[in-house]
Amino acid sequence: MVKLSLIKIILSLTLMPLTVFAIEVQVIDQEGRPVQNAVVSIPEGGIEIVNSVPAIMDQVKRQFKPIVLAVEKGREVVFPNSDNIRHHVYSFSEPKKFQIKLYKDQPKKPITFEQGGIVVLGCNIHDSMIGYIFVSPWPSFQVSPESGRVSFEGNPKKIAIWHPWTTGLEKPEIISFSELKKNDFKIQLSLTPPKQIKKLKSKFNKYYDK
Amino acid sequence: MNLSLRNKILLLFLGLMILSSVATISSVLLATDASVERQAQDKLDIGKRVFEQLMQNRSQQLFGSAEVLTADFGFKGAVAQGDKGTILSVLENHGARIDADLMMLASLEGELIARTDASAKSFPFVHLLPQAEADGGLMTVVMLDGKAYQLVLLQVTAPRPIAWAAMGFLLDQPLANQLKSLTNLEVSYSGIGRSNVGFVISTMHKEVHANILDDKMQSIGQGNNKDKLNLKRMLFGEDEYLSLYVSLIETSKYKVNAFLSTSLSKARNDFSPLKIQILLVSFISLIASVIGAFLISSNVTRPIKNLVSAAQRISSGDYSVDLPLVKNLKDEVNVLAGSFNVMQKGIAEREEKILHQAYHDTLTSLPNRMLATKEMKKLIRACHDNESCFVLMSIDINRFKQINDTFGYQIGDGLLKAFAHRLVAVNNGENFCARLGADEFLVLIQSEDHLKFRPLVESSVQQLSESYFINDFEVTVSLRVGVAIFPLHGDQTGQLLRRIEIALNDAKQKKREIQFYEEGSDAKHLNRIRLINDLKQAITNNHLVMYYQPKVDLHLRKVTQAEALIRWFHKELGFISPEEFIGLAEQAGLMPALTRWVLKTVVEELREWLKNGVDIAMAVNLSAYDLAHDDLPDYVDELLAEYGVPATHLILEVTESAVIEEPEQAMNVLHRFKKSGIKLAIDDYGTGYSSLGQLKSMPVDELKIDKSFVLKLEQDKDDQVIVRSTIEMGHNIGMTVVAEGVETKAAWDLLEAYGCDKLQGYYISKPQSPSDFLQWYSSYQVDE
Repeated sequence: MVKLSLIKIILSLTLMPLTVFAIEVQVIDQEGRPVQNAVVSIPEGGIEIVNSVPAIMDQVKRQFKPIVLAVEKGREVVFPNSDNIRHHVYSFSEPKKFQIKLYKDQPKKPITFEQGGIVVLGCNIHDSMIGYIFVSPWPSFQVSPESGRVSFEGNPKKIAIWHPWTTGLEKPEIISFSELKKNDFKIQLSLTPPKQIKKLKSKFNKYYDK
Repeated sequence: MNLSLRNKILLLFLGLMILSSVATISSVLLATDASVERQAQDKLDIGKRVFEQLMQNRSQQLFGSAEVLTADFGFKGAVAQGDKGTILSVLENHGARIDADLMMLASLEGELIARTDASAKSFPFVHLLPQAEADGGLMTVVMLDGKAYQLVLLQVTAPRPIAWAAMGFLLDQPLANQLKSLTNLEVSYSGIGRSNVGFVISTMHKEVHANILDDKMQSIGQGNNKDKLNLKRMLFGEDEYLSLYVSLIETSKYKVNAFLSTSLSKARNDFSPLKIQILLVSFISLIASVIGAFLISSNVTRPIKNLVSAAQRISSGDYSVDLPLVKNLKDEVNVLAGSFNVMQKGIAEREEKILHQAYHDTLTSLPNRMLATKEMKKLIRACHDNESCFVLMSIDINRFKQINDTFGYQIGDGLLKAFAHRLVAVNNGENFCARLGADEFLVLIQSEDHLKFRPLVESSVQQLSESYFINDFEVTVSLRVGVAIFPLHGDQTGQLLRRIEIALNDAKQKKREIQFYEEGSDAKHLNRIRLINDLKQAITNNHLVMYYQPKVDLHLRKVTQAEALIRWFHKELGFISPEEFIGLAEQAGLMPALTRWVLKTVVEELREWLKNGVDIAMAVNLSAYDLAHDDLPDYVDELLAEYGVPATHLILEVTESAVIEEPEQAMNVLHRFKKSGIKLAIDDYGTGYSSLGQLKSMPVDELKIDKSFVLKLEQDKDDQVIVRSTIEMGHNIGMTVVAEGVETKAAWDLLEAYGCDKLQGYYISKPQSPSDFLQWYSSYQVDE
């Protein structure tokens, strides 16, 4: 019953403003929970205007913040350091390889991401820090909040979806509108959170797990 | 088993000691064996922990090293950019730093990117990757190309995983050696892969490697044993090992075990000095206890042995040795030994007493006949050797019986003692003196010249004949002494003793004081002995005959009685007088038989006579012996009854002396005869010592005046007075009087004049055989 009413709401939301074309999708995981940090974009058009204000990929409490940052191709990103320790941010990703050697506060220059694609950020000092910059070749893109819901204006034929925990998803997946519609505008992702390497135990420990 | 007490004790001790020794030794051996095993197990257990710790340390070292490698920014960069040259150089560099035996890099999909050894082009651990990915890395043991490695698989992240780094340490001999030096155990590794390709690395000798591998295979064959901590006992040549398996890895493709061993033999060898000591101690204590047991058993049995030998000694008659005693020791054997000594002393004393009694006379304490015989034998030998001679004196106290009767036995015994005492004194205690019989003594006097003997004997006899004072009585004695000289009168004990006896008898007969043995006396003596023998035969063979001498009744003037007199006509010696052989019969104890023979013969004859109308009473003489025994009256009664002869026809004649010897007994016998109706007569009246009072009390009917008073009656006035008064006296006390020895008409007349009742003698008739008597009787007439 709850599900029915929810569908009704979604339908009313999508049908009501017939004059204003808008689309809202929700990203959920394999268990139906809303997924955060998914990049949902509409793979149409090209970048004509680049925001001149650099985007911010902050580092707070040894985590990148946000974990997933989506920027349009050609945008500058600054990597401020909000921790009182140094970080060494690097990327070996094809779209943008760079490193900002040990720094505090604000690095001297922002990094410009000229090439579309996914850039994985690491910190050479703190292995647990992983961040992602989605360099979008398309103008329309959003990063899902906690609710997993994103909405676009217009009437897109396709939607591109990407999440760092999808295995083998080096590039965003394109989903057709019809398929999206068929799925009630829900995009279900199979997510695998990365393993904590520190969990590894010696095989020989078994002799002492007594 | 016939064992001595000592051996029994010894055996018991030994058995117990051996048992306890065996028990001790075996328990020690078992305990040490168990201890060796337990210690070996403990050692293995501790060793295993050390081993595992070391293995883990090594893994962690490897792991740490792998982490360092995978975290290296340059390396990450190289991997991210696929710079193979750089990658390889980094791997080699890292590998060399930690002395890793295997360094590889593979893509996330398991394609080989680089490896330090150029043996293969593929990544061999693809199969481990899912596990490693799931766990975020992997630390394990693998088998590769017949070798075992400790392996670490780690992802290279940049920061997302981009590759797999594999690092391995070979399980090799140096590791085993190192572990051995740390755990103090033999360390082996064995691995086996598919198609049974395996390896063994061991600190033990190469020869045992095959065994380890075999055993390992056997272990595989046993299936997946969850308890991978297996203790095994293995024998490698001379050495026995206790081994502990630690399974390092077991997959479907391969299996790697570690194998910790410790030598039991070696551990046992550590105990062997202890074992040897214990064996030595046991052996020594066994020897000691054997010696101890020997000593104890000897100690216990020695006194018993002493007792045994003492008992044997005592039984053989040696009482001289006392058993050694321990003072104040209450030990049973000691007490027994004491009792033995007391017993031995007692036996010795009693035996001495018995021996003394056997060889001595109790009254006088002089040696007896037995000892005298011995002494004589000794003396004979001695005299033979030194050609000397000795005299034997047999001394008899004359009429000792009368002395006894007169003074009583006390005085008699006193006299004998005093006599013995004086006898010894007279001989200065030098010459051997002995008491041979009641009043018969023997003296042996040694001298070199036998001519000196007579004065010697005479002086001795003179001294011995002097009066004795016994209990204030003066007792005078006369002696009869028979003397014989060795070797003059014989050279043998029996012979000499017989000859002094003969000499003594001669002395008695001849009423001489001293009688030396005379040559030929022995023959007479021997003759007597022969006669005794013959007499015995004569009684049984009826060689004796009865003669009858009539008595004439002066009142009836006819023969009314006859005296039965025994006659012996010896086949060779002719007539032997009754005086001679009656004496022999008395000495030889033949009187009862003789008397009975006589009575039977007489009664038989009497029956014949009575049958033939010869009405005569018969008189039979009884001896003192016959009166002393009370079985004769019954015999006579039976005899008379048997032959149907009236008792009135039997007269029994007894002498006064026969009654005197044992008056009460004799009187009793006489009364019984009297009761049976037999007439009794006193024979030889006038020669004895009987008192008139006694005579009066005797149940006698007839008095026979001894013929010594009658033979010369017509010439001897004294005899006439005696005979006449005796007849009167006899009549006065109610007896008939018979006179014997009437040989003349004059005597007859005198006796008839005196009123004598019956006469007997040669004037009437001499004793005659029955047939002669009967013939004579039929024709005899008393002269008017």
